Amino acid sequence: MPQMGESVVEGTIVKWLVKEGDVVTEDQSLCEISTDKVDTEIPSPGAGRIAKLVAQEGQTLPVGAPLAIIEADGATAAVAKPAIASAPQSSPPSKPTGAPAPSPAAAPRPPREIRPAAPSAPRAEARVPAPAQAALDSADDEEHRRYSPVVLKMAAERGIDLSKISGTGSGGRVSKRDVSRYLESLRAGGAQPSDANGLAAASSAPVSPPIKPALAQAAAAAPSGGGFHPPVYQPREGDIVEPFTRRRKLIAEHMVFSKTHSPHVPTVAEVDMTRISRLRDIHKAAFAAREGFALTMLPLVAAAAVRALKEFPRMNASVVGDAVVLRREINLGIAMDSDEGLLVPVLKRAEGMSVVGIAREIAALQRKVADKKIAADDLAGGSFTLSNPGREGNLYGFAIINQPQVGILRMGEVKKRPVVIEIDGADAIAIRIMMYLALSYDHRVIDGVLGNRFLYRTARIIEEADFEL
Amino acid sequence: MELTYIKAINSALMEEMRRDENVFVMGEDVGELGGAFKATEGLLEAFGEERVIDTPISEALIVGAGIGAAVLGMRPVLEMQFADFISCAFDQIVNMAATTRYRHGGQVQCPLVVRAPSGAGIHGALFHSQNPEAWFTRVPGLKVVAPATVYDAKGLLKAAIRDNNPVIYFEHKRLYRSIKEDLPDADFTVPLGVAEVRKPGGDLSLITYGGTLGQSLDAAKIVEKEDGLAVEVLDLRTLLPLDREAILATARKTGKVLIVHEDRLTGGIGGEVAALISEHAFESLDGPVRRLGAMDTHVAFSPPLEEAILPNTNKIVDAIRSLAAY
Repeated sequence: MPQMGESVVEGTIVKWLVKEGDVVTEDQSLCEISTDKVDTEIPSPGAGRIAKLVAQEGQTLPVGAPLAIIEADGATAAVAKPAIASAPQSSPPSKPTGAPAPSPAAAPRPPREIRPAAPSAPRAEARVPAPAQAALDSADDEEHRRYSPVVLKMAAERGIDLSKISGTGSGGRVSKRDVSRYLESLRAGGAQPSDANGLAAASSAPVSPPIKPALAQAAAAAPSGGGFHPPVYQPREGDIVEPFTRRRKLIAEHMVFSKTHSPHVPTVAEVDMTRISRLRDIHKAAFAAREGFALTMLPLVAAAAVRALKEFPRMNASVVGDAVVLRREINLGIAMDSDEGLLVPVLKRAEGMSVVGIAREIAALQRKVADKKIAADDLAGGSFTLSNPGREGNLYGFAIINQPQVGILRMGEVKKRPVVIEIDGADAIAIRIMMYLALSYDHRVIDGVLGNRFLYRTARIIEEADFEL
Repeated sequence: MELTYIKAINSALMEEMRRDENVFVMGEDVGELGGAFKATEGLLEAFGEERVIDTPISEALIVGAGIGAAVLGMRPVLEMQFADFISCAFDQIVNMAATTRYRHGGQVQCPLVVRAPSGAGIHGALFHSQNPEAWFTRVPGLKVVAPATVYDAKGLLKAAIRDNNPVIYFEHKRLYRSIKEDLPDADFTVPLGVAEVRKPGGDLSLITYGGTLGQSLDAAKIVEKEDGLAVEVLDLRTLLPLDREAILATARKTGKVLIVHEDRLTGGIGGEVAALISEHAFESLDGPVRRLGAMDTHVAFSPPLEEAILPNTNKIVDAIRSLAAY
């Protein structure tokens, strides 16, 4: 399998163009392959007879893996193994230079060890074959483990292996204090020194007993090896330690998962809310009298999002393994603040609802949140999310995608701003009610053009304010 | 008796002139006016115009005449109205006063004191804010002192007057009336060439002198309270000769050293102290020797700019935290 570009680590045999027993000439196309970057044909490295097709159609092989064995003149077999070509990604593979191997038994040895990329790692980032990268990393680590003169002196005098001490200095540097603490911990009974650092510090200060387990847990959870971990917490009088609630822990894990798995693209649109505000003002009193709750911007924007999602079904989707699932139902999650933290109740089957229906459903969910009557079913099954942190000072911000969805809209503060508008072909500065609407989308599955079009469309639907109240 | 820094200087002059009739003062407006800052107030009345001499506006003349008197056995105390103008007397100080003993094979000495009101923080801008001590700390034959406390202002001046070599005495103008101290009535001096630990500590050493000692002690208090850091503060007191033992002792003790002075960073005494430490206490170091000084520019007229240019308590706190975290 030839290297079809710097970042390509594997290729898939699409189709064999020859079969076993065929006689081929040098440069004759042997098979079609498909890689992350290009689809191309593999030319034969030499003339001969195809002794064996090693790889099967549909099979994905790492760069350097043998594809076929060609018997050269005089029944000498050669592995169809084009030399690793540093071909530009867009150009066809360079002409193979490998001469037929002298021995038929020559083991097809890949020129470079390639470790298959982990399934979750974006392929485009595997620039260097994994082992080589690892070697570089460890070389870097050695390079960066530098010690101050006094630390080296203490280590030499007391025979300490400095690699066993995790540093709390800048960049994880092992400081004189770290060595002193390590020595103390050895004297105190030889506990895991790196963890003991945190524990010793945490338990030496006066902290009320109930929080000690939480602190101990926190200290124990700190990674003991290299790499970054936050500075050891030094308890101070008056500090309050709040252990995570279960919900907080889940939120934290969800947020970190989302940030590390989905490459978020933040996009923001400017939305003229003047017309929709007017619409709301006209219906406000009658609506409140009829429905028993106030009409806010939230259901109007939610209705606009639902309408736009109908037009862009790829935005109403879930990532499941290596597939995107386009959801038929639009189950719109609405982020809401609660006493226990963030909750995202779901507006089920919103695709069939009128604006008033959406408003009623949101109001009902809000009541449930306020009354702490929200059920697990209310929170499940979302296909897209709308967040409205509202309030002052929120110009715009980019929400974190609610997994496994592929996008999330976030409303900014609704505020009057001077904007340039066109009246009868002439430019004018007008005071308009404006809002920034931000979309974060998962760039694994949503391309920029689609994300933009969806956001733009949502913004236009809001601006048109064509809603039946 | 509780005295201000300026009163301590005045009291030292009074006592030394009373003790030794060879001591006399000379400078611009030191007589009838009692000095621009009132350091020589009351001396004319007490000792007469032969021992309290008003001079023309010429720093070179003041020091030159002082050298002549000193060589002949007198002990002149020469006032530069502002240390900024000491450069006018530079040749007399570095080529004449500093070399006298050497040039004469040790047979002639030059026991004079040049008092130089230095320092910024009083909105004096570029001609009334300078800290020119580093111009002199590389001149053999001179001694340079910079008292930071009321006690030292008196004790170091008396010791300087009694020393048989030319001593440049940098008194910080901002301290004149901003600090007070109860001084003993009995005669005392502060030895030249001896630094003083103002606050012991084990986490980090802060080496300073003169106008930044107070700010350094304030900063040390803040980080002690807020960060639990024990900062050892060493006051150099004498800049030439440096108290190498005290400097190296504190560096070896804590392994981290921050040097703070109001003088500009480049070419300031901090560089010399840092070099001493890295040469002789390297194996005790747990971090880079850091310096905090005035920016390498002139002290500005604008108060906010002056504030930005000079070191202050907050900047010292930041520097301590950064070095402690290293």
